Amino acid sequence: MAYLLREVQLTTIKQRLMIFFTMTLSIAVFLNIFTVGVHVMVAETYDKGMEQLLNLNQFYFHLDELNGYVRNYTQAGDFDEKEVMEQCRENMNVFLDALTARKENTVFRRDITDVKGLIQTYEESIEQIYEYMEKAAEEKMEPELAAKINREYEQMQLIYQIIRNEFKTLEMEMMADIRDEREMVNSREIFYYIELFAGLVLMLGIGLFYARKLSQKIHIPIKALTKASEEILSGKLAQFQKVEIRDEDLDTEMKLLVDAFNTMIERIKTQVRQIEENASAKVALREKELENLQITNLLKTSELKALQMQMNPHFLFNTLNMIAKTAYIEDADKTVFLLQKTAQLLRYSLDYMGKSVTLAREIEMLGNYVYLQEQRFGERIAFEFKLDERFHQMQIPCLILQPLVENSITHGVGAYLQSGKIKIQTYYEEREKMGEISIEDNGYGMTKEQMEQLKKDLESPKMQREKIGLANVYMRLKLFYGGKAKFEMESIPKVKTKIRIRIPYQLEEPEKKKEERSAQGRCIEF
Amino acid sequence: MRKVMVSALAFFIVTNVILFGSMEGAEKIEDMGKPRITLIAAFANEAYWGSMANGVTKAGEDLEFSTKCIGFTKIDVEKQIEAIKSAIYAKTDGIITSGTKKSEAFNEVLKEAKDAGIPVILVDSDVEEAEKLCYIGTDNYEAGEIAGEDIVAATGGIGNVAVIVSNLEAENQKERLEGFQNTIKNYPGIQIVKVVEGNSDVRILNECISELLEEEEDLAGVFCAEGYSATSICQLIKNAKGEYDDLKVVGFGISHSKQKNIEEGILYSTIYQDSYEMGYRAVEALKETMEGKTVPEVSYTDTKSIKKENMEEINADEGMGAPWHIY
Repeated sequence: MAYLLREVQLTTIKQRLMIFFTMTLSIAVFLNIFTVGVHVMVAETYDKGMEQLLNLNQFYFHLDELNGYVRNYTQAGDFDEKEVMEQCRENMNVFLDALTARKENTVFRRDITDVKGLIQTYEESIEQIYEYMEKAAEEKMEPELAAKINREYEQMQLIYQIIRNEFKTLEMEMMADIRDEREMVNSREIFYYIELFAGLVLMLGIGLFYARKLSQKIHIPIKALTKASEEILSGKLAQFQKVEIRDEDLDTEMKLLVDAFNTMIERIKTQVRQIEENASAKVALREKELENLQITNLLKTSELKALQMQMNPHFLFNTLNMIAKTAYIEDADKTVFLLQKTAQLLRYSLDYMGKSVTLAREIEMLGNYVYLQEQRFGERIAFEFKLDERFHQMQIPCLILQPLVENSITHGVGAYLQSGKIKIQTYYEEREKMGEISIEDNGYGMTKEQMEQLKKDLESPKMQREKIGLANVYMRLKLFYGGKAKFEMESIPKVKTKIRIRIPYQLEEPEKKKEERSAQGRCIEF
Repeated sequence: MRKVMVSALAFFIVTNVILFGSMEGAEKIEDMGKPRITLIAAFANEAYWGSMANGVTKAGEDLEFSTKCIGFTKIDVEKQIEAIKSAIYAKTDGIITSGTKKSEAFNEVLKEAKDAGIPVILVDSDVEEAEKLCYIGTDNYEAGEIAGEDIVAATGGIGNVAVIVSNLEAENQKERLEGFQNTIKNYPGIQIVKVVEGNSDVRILNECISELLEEEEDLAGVFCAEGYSATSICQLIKNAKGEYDDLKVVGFGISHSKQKNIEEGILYSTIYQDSYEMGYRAVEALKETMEGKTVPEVSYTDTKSIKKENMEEINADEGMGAPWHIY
């Protein structure tokens, strides 16, 4: 039983219901059987008493009858009566046996045994009389025989009288027995009622207990689910975690329901998150498109400007080539060289305008420009290159460095008569994975106020169009790298002005090669 | 909670099983093939016979006999004989009865019992010439002697004494008187002046006693050789309020009133015969006979004088109340 009940904890609602109904029903059936059993028993006791009284009466009735026959037989010698007499005697003994068969150990039992003894003596006398009567019938009724019969008959009558006298005693004793039995049954009856009552209370108790348990098992999960549903309906899906119920409060079906609910909510949450992410991605995309549009715009503007500035490049190239040939005929070698460099520079700027180039190519073209400027300024300005070629395969927008160097000459060291210095340096910072390009001059520089003003101007869109120079470079870097590139300026008037561009770049070479490269330390100096 | 439920259910089932079991138990058959013994007492309404019936019933329980006690509302020899006959015809296995005053019919019925093979034991009073298995009871002669000693002690050996008997034809009364006389004879200061027959009938007794007290004014003591007279005399003494305070009374047998009178000092002593033991020993003797042993023809039970000092020697068997068949 205990095992059964312990198992209930993990069963389904169906099983629980089955156990509940079986238990209450079995107790009810048991109580019913019990009640019927008690009633049958009480009825039996009463019936038995009644039957015994009847038996006693019947016994005496037959005894009286028998005695009458005996008298007739003995007095009148009526042999025909013998058969009836025997029948009567048999009947009498049946009732006597029924009376002596009583199981109770009582005074009545003793007395009826005595009566039985008396009846035996009585019957012995009958046998004796039979014998005498037969003898008398065979021979002749002698006075001696008649006296014997008479004596026997008298003794029989005495016994009959004794038994007759016993009737009242026997009846009273039997009544007393029946009363005692009834009293015993009655005294037990209270226990039956108590038992019945206890059974009812037990049934009620078990019924209530299981009904409560069962309704709890259904109610707790349903309540939790309802509460959760309300919460979700009121828009708190994001904060909602999951429905949690202790395992002992759950049946199999309910556990399934709760688990299903939890899974469903989890899925809804995931999908909502995905939708949100898509939306933000679209916004980002639109922003990007806008940016691209800006870039295109910008490029178009600068291209137009370049075209306006350069007018007809082919005409310019042809003119330059014609001048170069004239110079060659006139043996002006230096002029030829200068013109060629200028042409190269011009072609580069026209070909790659609006495109990206490798840093190496940009540096190469910067070299051309620097050569031209050296020819122009001679000893007045010294150009210095310090290059770290490890990251020179990095893609950058073209004509980034030339405007900066030009800037340095125009606003920095251009007015110097001697010892102007411009230092161009590339360096790869491995720790931060940044490629660094810096242009430093020791020109007039800017005061702090001027620097602040410049920084402000750089951000304003007007400047980009008006001046192709610093602002243009800044804007292009910003657009090209999406803000990941850093543009830094620092200036100490009359000492130095430094512009530094830092671009994130991941070296592609394997570790080993990189190490070899850095060991070689290939720095080119012009 | 669950544990409580399960234990309650288990308890319920167990009690049910026990209840149904007890119903079955009530119908167990007890062996009724026990030999039947019938006690036919001379008299029913007396503590003396009640004790004897208790003794017989107890012995029946102890020795596995079925016992039945028959008594009569007054002493009636004919009825007693009829009861004995009834017991013989009922084929009982043993009869215990008391001897009566001289009666041919009684002797005959005892012979009839012997012919039927039923042993008869006489208790209380013997009939020497009757056909019986044995006599178990008081040595009435000795009882008389003890009573004599008591009278001597009570009166200081000087004065006139009277004896009240029920019937001088009764064997036991005669023997008691003889025993009494035998003791008194040794004390010249005491004379028995009168022997009264009261027939154990309360009305006759009261008349006789009143007569006696009036006739014999200087009476020093009375020996009541039968059960009733002592109580009657004590009642008279109480009613006379001091007139007979010097009268010493020795009673016979035990009863509530006698015990009370002894406590109050009105009754000097009473001769106690252990009737409970008589009954018990009678059954024992029957058992021995049935087992083929021989029992002594006469065996006496204890007889003693009960005075104020030794009241606790009375056999306490009152609670038993063996059932009587009274005719």
